[in-house]
Amino acid sequence: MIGLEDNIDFFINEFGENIEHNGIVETAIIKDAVENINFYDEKIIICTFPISTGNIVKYKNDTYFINSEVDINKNTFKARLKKSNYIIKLTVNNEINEYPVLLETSAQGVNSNKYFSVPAGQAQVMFEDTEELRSLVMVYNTRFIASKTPYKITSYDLSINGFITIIGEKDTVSVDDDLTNEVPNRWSNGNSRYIITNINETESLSQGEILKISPQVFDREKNIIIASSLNYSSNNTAVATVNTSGEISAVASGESIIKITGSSAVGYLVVGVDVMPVSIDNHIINISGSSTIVLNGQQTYTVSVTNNLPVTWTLKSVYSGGTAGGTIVSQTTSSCVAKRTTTGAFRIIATIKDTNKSQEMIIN
Amino acid sequence: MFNDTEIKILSNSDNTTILKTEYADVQPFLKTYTFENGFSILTTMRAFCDKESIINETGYVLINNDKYKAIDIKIWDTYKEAFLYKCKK
Repeated sequence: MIGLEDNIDFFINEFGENIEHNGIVETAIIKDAVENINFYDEKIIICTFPISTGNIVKYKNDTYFINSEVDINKNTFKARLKKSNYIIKLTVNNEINEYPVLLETSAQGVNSNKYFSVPAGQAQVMFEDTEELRSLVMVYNTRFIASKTPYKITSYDLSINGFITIIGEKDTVSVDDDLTNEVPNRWSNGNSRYIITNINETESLSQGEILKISPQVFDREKNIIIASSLNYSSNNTAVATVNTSGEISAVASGESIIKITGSSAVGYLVVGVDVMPVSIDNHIINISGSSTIVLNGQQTYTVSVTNNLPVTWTLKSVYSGGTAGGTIVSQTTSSCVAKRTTTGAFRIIATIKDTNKSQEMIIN
Repeated sequence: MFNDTEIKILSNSDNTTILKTEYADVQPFLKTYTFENGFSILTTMRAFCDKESIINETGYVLINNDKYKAIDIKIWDTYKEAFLYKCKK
């Protein structure tokens, strides 16, 4: 049997594969630890860079721990790898961090490769020994979730070099736990499980415009849209109103906040509405009144205009250059009284003051 | 020996530095070497070189642009016999 030592560079170059060791891409030889295929994925690593027990090695999208003493030779380091069999999620500064671990419960053994090596109701978790994880998991009653079951940490141990080994005892399920994604206490500290989606943060509307919104309630735990009745309200109905169908009506210039709440959801989203000024061309003029006036008779006409702008009233013939068959008896900026003086059709015209924007009605 | 094959002696596994160009008698030859940790290396060529050749067990050679690693060198009275493994990388 010839040793590898004198030819290690050749073997690394010829048989080495890319791995990630402590976050750095390196080349190492990875071999199966045993020839037989079994449930526990164990490998041998041979490399030329220093490694230590408890280090994390990423190889082909899997995460392994160095879980043996390291055989240090003149030019090489050799150790055994064990594939991480679980990811423990912990919330750190409102962010969910994932930590690969070796998990052993009463149903699944890791160290011994035997079942029932951990007492019922307990879980043993081996983390990489880092300062960050020491501060996170070496704290009594810190909770974690494994196999959809919450545990609280009751003891820890540093006697296995490179690992923090903790023992957790089964804990009761909290309403704040995200059991689906196994994040303990996820829905506490203002983190809502439900949020309103499918809506813009701001909308700009012109006066009189109507916008139909179709918000949805998203369940962040199950990552799905849920059916939920929604309630809408406006904090400034003088600017914008909203009905039960989610139709926002722009009333007047200004800003309004539309609040949407799901009846079965605790989340909500605020929508700001900016009502933009309407150009004169887009103003709407509606004349109301009878379309007929008998000879020498009188009728009153009123007008509604966008923004209640004032109008002036005139009568004209239906024929270009003709003489209107009536007169304006009296007028205000929103109404007038017209009198027919001769037979024949004529037009009554309302024109927004100081503009050319007008609307007319044929009077017979 | 028919020293009719050009071999380029490399300084390392990179093909960047050729230390010396020599001529040797290169023949197909199969031989397996077993290393620790279950590594088996099948050499497919052997090269008979002059005794003064600088080929050694840590070096690499280029033959017709193929890179070989000398796995074993036997030194005889008048020549060296190098067992060559064809590198995959």
